[in-house]
Parts: sequence; C-alpha cells; structure tokens
Amino acid sequence: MTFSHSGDGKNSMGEGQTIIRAISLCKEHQVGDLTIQALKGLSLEISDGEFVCIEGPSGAGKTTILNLIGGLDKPTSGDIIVFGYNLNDSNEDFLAAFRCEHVGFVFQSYNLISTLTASENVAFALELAGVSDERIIERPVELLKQVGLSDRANHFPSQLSGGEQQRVAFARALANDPPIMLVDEPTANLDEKTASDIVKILKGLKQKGKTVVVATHDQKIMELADRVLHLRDGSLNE
Amino acid sequence: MRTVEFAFKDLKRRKFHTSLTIIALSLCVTAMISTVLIAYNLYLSIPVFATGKLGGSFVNVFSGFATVIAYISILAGAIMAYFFVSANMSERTRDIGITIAIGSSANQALGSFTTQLLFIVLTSCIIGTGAGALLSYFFIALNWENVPSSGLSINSWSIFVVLIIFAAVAFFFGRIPLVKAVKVRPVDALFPYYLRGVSFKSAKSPYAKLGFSFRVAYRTFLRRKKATVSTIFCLSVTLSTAAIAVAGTTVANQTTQSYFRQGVGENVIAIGHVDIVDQYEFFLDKPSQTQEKTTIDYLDPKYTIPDLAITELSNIAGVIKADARLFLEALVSERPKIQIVDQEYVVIGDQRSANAVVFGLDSEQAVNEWFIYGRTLNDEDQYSAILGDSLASNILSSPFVQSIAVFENDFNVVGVSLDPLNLGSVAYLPIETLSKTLNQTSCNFLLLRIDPAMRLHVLGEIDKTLNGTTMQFIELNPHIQKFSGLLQSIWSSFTILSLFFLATAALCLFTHMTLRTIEQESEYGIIRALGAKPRRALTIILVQAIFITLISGTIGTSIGLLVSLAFLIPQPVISTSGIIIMIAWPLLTIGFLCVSSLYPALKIAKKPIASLLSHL
Repeated sequence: MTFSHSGDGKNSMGEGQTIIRAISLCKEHQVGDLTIQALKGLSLEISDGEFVCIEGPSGAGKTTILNLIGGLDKPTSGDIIVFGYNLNDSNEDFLAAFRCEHVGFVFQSYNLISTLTASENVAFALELAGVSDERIIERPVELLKQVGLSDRANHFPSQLSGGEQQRVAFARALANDPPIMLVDEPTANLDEKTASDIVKILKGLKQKGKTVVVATHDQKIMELADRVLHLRDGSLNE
Repeated sequence: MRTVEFAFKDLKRRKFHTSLTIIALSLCVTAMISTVLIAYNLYLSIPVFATGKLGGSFVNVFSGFATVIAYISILAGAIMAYFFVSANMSERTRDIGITIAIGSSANQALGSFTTQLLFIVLTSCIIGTGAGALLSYFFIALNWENVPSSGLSINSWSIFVVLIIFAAVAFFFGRIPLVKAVKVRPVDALFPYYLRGVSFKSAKSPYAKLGFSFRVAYRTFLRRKKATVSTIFCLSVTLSTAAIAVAGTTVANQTTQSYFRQGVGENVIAIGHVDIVDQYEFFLDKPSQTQEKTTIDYLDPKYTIPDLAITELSNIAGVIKADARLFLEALVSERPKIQIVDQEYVVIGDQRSANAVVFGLDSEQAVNEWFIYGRTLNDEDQYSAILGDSLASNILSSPFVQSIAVFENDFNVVGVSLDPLNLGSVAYLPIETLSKTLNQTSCNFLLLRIDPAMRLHVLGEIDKTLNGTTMQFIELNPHIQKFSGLLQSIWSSFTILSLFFLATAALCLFTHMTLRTIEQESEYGIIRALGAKPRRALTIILVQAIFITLISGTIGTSIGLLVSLAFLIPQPVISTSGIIIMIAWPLLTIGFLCVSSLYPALKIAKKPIASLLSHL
C-alpha cells in the first residue's frame, strides 16, 4: 500500500487543510480489575503544516494521543481520521504502510534498536519503505549530519548518550521524509545544552512546513508552537 | 520488606516467566530421570532377555547403547538446566541494579535473588522427579511387550545422582549472572541496553542481498553473539543426543542385522545328512529351541558327503560358492600364556574349557563374511583358529595372546567373530589340519551360496541330485529373517525411548524460543511502530529460528552421528533407508522447532504496538 505526498514532506491535500481529525476519542486501559480512562471524549483538529504542542501532567494522556494519531494504538471509541483515512477502521497492513510513509515518531525513551548502529537505525526505516540501496546508503549519512552525529554513525545505541540517542531517533523519524512528525517529550530526559539542540531540530522541522505534534512541558518548545493544547485528565482545554 | 518475602513476591508477579522457567526445568529433570530410568531398565532387561538368545557381543552392543544414552541424557539435561537458569537469572540484572540503587546492600540483593533461584531449582526437581518416575512407569507398562521385564526397577542412586548433578549445575550457573549483576555498577545495570548482551566488537554491517527480513535477522543473530552462541550450544547438545538416539538406533539396528546376515550367510543352502542338517538347524535356532539337543557321532561314515556329490552340487548353474566342511562338536580348551611383563613372568589365562561347535573349513571357500575382530583364516594358516564371540569371552582372558587346544592340537586365535551360530560358541579351524588329526578324508556338511535370481532352478537341481540319498537341504534365509525380527524388537525399544527424549527436548526448546521472543518483544514493537507489517516481524523471528536451528542441527546431528558411528557401533552399516531416516529426522526436528517458534511470534504479531513498547 502506498500513500502520496510530495517530496518536500507536505501531503497533496494542500497547506492549511485539516489533516488530523480526532472525534470524541475515548481510550481505556485495563490494569487488572481497574479500568483507567486515558482519554475522555477528546476531539481535535490539526491542519497541515501546523506546529502543535500538547501539554499536561503525567498520566494526562499525551502519549496516548500521539499513539492514536500515529496508528500505534486504536481508540476504545470515537474516530481518528488522518489524511482522510479513518485509522480506527484500518487493518494492520494499512496502518503499517501508513506509519512507514506518513508518520515520523520520536519516542520519549528513544526506542532505538539495540543491535543496530546509529546509521543502521536510520537505514532501517528506509529499508522498510523499500527505497533503493543507493538511497539507503546516502540518506542516513545526510540525516546524521543534519543532527550533528556524523562521527557517531557506527556506534550502537548503548554507546551513545541520551541526547545523541534522541537525535538518532529524530534522524530515523525523518528518514522517509514523512509529512507528520509525532514527538513525545523530546527534552524530558536531557540537559539544557542537549535540549537546545533538540529545539533547533524542531525549529528546522517547522521551517520545512512539517505538521508537528509534540507532547512536552518544555517552555522553549512551546514557544515554537502555533497552538498549545492543555490536556487534563483525558480532556483538552485549549 | 524482608529478603525472602520480596523474593517470593517478585516471583509471583513474574508469573509467566517463572512458570515457563519452572516448566522448562521440570521438563529437563523429567527427561533426565525418565531416560536414565528407562535406559537403566533396558540395561538390566536386555542381558536377561537376550541371554540364551544373542551372543555376548550383541548383548554388549545393546547394553553399551543404553548406558551411553543415559549418560548423554544427563549431560544434555545439565546443559539445558544451565541454559534456562542463566537466561532467567540474567533478567534480574536490572532489578538487582534497582535494589542496590535504592539502598539495598549487595549481599541483601544477592540473598534475595538466590532465594528465588533455590525455589525455582527445588520446585523443578520435585515436579520433574515425580513426572519422570511416572512417565517411566507408564512407558515400561505400556511399551515393554518386546523386552519382558518384571516391572519398573527404580534405582534410587541413579535418581539421586541425576538430581544432585541437575541441582548443582542449575544452582551454580544460575548464581553466576546474579554474582556478576551484584558487581555491576547500579548505573550500568539500570542502563536499558545492558541486559541485551549486544556485541560492540563489530559495527560493520553484514552484507546480504537476501532481502530485508534476512538482513535484520542476520544482524540480530550476529550482534547478540553471547545469547546466540549459548543457544546454539544448548541446541547442539540436545540435538546430538537425539541424533544418537534416533539415527544411532537406526544404524545400530541395521548394523547388528547385517552382522547376523553376514555371520549366517545370505542366499546360502545347507546340505548334509538329515541328522547333520537337523543338528545345524538346532544350533542356528538355539534362541528359540525348546527341545533338547540330540547327541550324534559326527564322524560316522553314514554322514559323509561323497566327493562326487559335492562336485555335482558345486557345478549346478547358479551356485556361486561351495563351502564343504567338517562339522562336529568338541571340547575346546584354553591354553594359558606366559609372558614377561616388567621383567616378571605373568601367566595369562587359566585352564578353562567348553563344548563348542567346531568347523573344519577351507578359508578360501567360506560363505560367511563375519564381523570379525582380528582376521579371517588364510591358506597358510595350519594351526590358527577363528572363535565365536561367546566362546572367546568364556574360555579366554586375552584371545589374541592365548591359544586353544582342540583334539590335542594347539591353535592360535587370529580372529573373534560375531557369530549367531550356537550363540557364538563356535570355533573355525583349517579343514586340512582337522581332517589329518581325525583321520577323516571327507566332509559331512556343505554350504552353497547361490545366485538369488536362479534360486528355483538351483533348488530343483539340488533336489534332483539328492533324490534317493539320505541327504537333505535347507535354505538359511528364513532363519535370518526370524532372527532379524528378534533384533528389530529390541532396537524398537530404544527407538521409542529416543523418540520420547526427542519430544521432551523439543518441548524444552519451545519454551526457550518463547522466552527469547518475549525478551525481544519491545524491539519487535519498535520495528512495527516504524511501519513493519506484523508478518514481517513474524518472518524475522522465523528466519532467526531457522538460522539457529540449522546451525545447531548441523553441529548436533554431526556430533551425534559421529559418536554413534565411530564409537558406539563397530563397522556401521548404513543403508538407503538409514540415510533417509538420518536426513529426515533432523529436517523434521528443525521444522518442528521453527514452527514452534512461530507461536510466540504470532502472539507478538497480534499484540498492540503500544503494549509491546511498554516493555522497554
């Protein structure tokens, strides 16, 4: 399955159009006998090229929203529509192709594959998309240079610091030049200097016109945002 | 929280991992106990059953096999125990780091996790011993038709030794990762990648043009070197045990049958006076004889086969070889030998003797192609002899050093044959020497090897030639088939035992695959989060399983076959069916293991990505 979006990372729907629409999203997690409501009928719309920050205390549901937009999880009820596709009705194969080509996900805990080097972690996403061998060799070099890690390309995640791993995670998320970037608490575990490097990367994404959704508490990141959504107990207060 | 309380609470909350490890370890103990008990009972029963039915060397082959299978099952069980325990305890590294980081002393942390280890090992020993004894009982009760036994004989010492070995290995190897973890700085132990045993030595990407899933599986395989090597080691030992059990048994069956066929002589017809042929049949069928042996005077002239008849019978078209013999019974006595060892005279042997079947034969014409230790007789041998295995072991201490005396003549022993005739109590001497000694000019027994394609013609011609005489003939092939059935029935007991061990080993390996896949759950979550379809994760796991099982299969099977063929079975005979079995069983095992690894993979494919990632 393939999706079409232009090479500059923007989709064919045109700037300003709503590309992410969440309608009455509810998400419940079962923990033993207890049912935890992570999202309570949340609705939101995000336009193409928009930089949106989601702010809220721990357990408010920030990661859950990102997971739902990225097609990593399905809501208990409600609909999540991205580029006109209702992800709730989509099968796993569709969602896999969607994640591969449409979404770049930067996880809070980096989630790099421990057995792959920095360069291979980036190449991995390209290999999944089935791009040419030539591109698989060139693109990681280019992206690692962009995030300032050219000299660490052959190091394993365990040989990198937290900030470096975070930057590799950004490079990997950008590998297929996706129109949507979902970023979960990118500076939560980083020192001030490293955090400002990440902010620079995010600024770059905004300049490129990517649609960026960031779950964060970081004031510097929120300053970049077109809109900040305040999430409290699974509901939004804009 | 007290050390012991924490240990049990922790185990209880890791319900799945704890149960899986206990099941796997219990299966190891079950396999070890039941294999040892069954092999012990086979070891006890076969000589009892086979005495009076098989020669000494045949019994030794069976007993040796049972002993080796028992020892190897203990070794394999110990290695599997090492593997499962160290894999399970390695998972505690991070937890030990956490407990030390929050203020627990190294000794407290070690004590707590050692308690867990003790609990797991002891529980597995108890469950495994019970299950092993029960299985052995049912195995013997249900499948012991071929080898009658007085019931299960439980050797408490063997169980005790097995348990001590198992517990010691499990405890020792289980404690190693714990002791190592206590020494690790908490900050390192807490590092998420510390656990995964990634090799940092080579960051070079393995080149492969074989597709994406293959590349990913290959990289993981190569870079988790420690885990991969220990898995391959464990699987290889298990599979070599299975190879000895399955393929070894097949080859041993075919080889011992071949010993018998060659010892008796295939497509051979025995001719002589009715009494002589009856007597030969009696000695050949001794295992199933119920009547008493008749005493005859073998040198009575009425038993002589005229030279003209021998010439006529030899010249029948389709007769390949004519082996005219002097057949009799005689007292064979041991001749002690005096040797100088370290400047001292040492007497080897005694004054033992036994009644045996004695053949005078022309070595060039002998129809038998025995499995022989030493050599056969040749033209120049005047005072040399070949002895059957039982006779040699009953009356001689060192067959190739000593000599024997028959009718006052001394003969050097040049060969010991695996001989089914008279249960191996037989001696072959040069016919010329024997004839001279007994002043006998003619033979009383003739063996003809015939072309099986011309069987009917030859039988017709023999019938014509013997018509009107007191001589008769019998074919030896039906006797070979009868004996083959007996051997087959004994080896089938080993086959059942080996299949049982193979099944238990496969179950253990399935548990191992499940644990390994669970360990990598989060990484499959990442792969899927990046856009891999569930079946791709499935393919990667399958490719990894194939990698490991193929390498382990090759190593394990080769070692198993080598041990079986080179050490356990002298002069192995490998037929086409044997080769098919040897190729088929590793393929089936590998196939089964790969398929079994799909179960945890399927579970991962169905699990939501968010849930997989939560394991990080």
